[in-house]
Amino acid sequence: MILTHEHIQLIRLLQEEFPLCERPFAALAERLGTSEARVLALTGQLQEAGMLKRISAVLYHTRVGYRVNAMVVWDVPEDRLDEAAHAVVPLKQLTHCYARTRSAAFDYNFYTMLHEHSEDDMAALIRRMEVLIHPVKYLALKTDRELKKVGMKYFIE
Amino acid sequence: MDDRDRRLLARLQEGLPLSPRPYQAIAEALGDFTEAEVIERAERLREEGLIRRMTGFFRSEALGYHSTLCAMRVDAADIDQMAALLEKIPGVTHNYLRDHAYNMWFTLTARDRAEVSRILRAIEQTGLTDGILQMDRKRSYKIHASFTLE
Repeated sequence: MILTHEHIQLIRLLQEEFPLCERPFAALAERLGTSEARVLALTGQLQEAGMLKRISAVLYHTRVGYRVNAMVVWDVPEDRLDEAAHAVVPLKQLTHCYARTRSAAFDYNFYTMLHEHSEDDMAALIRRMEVLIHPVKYLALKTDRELKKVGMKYFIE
Repeated sequence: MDDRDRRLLARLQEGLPLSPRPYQAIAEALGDFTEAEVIERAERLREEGLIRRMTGFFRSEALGYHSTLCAMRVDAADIDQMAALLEKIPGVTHNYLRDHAYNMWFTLTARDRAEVSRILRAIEQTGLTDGILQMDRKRSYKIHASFTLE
């Protein structure tokens, strides 16, 4: 699907605060100078094209009890990556899971972002994942400090 | 926060249907909510600082952007200055200090690979780091933050 100026204008609005009112798409339509039906159609196109994942709530996760966050990286043989992912993706405490390129300086290829309520819970979760993934080696990179966390803004250059 | 808030928060994290009255649809899905209650509770949860906001989530690669994960070594004395620099770069969306020799980890999204490289070279030119590791994504297995509240 080719992104038109209509899509781009809509993306610029959708990536900001989505209205909390009875007819939020109508509210966006008013700002864009078009119809509610047109906004719904364009949003549908963005979703069908895989560009828009979803419209949903962002929580302050530390305020809902998930105070311990870690990026745990794993060294997994390439031919076992899919199997490892399949084993751990269902875990709710795992929010992001990627295969990434290795480097000589950092010999890991499987990256998992984990969130737990306490240090003990996090340690237990990592032990459980070690059993599920069965890596050559792994490294838990605890967050010492969150310096920046913002949403990406597209098409605003 | 009561049980109705918890149920609503769980549902709101899943994604709104693309219909003219999406909060009405959520009320119907939950079964025992009205549209007005969905909107009022969501608004209150936002005011109380549990919900940051409702927003659209996009796939950067599908939009033609290039995203990567980077790591670098920064001396303790230079951390604040480097953090301030990355704060000003719009494509740097996440930046964390981690417990490792490579102690500063950040995500970078830009219009294409060339732009990503330009930004990384500019960061290196500050002299505040001895080199940036770049770990490109090969495959995404899960990108969904949804928190269950007990």
